[in-house]
Amino acid sequence: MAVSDLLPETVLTDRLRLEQLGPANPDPSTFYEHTREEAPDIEETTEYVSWSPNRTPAAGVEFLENAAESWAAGEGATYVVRPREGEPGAGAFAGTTGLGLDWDRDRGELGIWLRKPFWGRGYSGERADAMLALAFERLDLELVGVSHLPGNENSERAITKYVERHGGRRAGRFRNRLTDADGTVHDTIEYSVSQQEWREADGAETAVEFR
Amino acid sequence: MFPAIIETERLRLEPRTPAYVDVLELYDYCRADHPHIDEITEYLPWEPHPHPKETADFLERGVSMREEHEGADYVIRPREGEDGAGEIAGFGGLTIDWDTDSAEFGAWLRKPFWGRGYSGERAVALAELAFEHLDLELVTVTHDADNEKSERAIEKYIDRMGGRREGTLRNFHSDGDGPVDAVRYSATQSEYRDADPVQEVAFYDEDEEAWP
Repeated sequence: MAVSDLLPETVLTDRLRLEQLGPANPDPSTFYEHTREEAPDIEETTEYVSWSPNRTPAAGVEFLENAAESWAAGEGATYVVRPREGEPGAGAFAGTTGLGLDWDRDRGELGIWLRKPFWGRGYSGERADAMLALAFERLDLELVGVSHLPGNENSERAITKYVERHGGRRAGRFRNRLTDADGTVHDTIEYSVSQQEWREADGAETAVEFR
Repeated sequence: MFPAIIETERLRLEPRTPAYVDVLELYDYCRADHPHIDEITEYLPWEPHPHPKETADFLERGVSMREEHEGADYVIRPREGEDGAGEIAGFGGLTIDWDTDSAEFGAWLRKPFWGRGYSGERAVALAELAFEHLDLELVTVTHDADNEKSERAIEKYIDRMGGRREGTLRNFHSDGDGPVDAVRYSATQSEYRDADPVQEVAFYDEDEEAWP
């Protein structure tokens, strides 16, 4: 059995459907349309993320293939985020989310990118509930970390809210912690939630189902 | 890229290479049955050496990291007038991440040399190298969350450099017994200049001529 067999292909929450991301899902042309340099609001939605908008369809396909390779190697689970029926834009490609896996350090790392029409709905927190359940319930990791760049107030608000709800903590601001795609050096604000904190807080606001 | 010799008031630092460190002498201090070895290595990222081959490899990595410009590690020897003058007291150096414009301190000392303030003296000398000569923006250092001795030493010298304690990173690294939390500190070049920690430090090349 491979580690990747532990990763559910589909995760359902009250309002979201998360599907394994790879070369076949989302449709590569849809993916490129929404992640290309000319996509609406792309500068705003990628301002604080670790990747740059795709210059070519080939770059988009490469992103999807890399995610599939990480999945197969058990190094990370990346999902397509789609609103469920009843939500505005139900079924649409709303963004991507992932749980990076570091088995040696017994920890997972959360990440998310959402298209702008889907901001402000609390999807990030709902997806975090699902990814924490995946990390702790299914994968029995000890810790889940998440970070944002200084100045990213939207992420700071969303992360602070769900980290507190799940009993975790803000670790602090760490200087020169990473470089982005164009080589710029950034500080990070880091947070983490342990499995024990998560169990004691019991803070999920959504049902979570793995398929 | 790096000076061969660094001298402070009480310490002389020389390259961690076979040319400057006798492998069998060092092995004797790193072997599994050396007094206090478990106490010394409790929080270090290496285990006591089972064989001199391990010690030789350690010195060779000191050569290659220097050649690849990945950092500079030094053997720490007390200068004349100090107890144990000329002995191998331990090692201290910089691991450089050019991408993030920063260098990380690392050091360990043999137990007879604990409690003398050598760690801080070595750190300020290496910060001088990192900021004044390598023009890096930041120095960082971490200790395991439950290592109180390192915490005390680091708090003190980071404060002298005008830096700060950033926070605790949980499951920061993994040793043989599982993940370990670490506390991270940093000081920027401008904080260091403003704090201006007063300390005598001199750099020399292999021929004992002034460096650079």
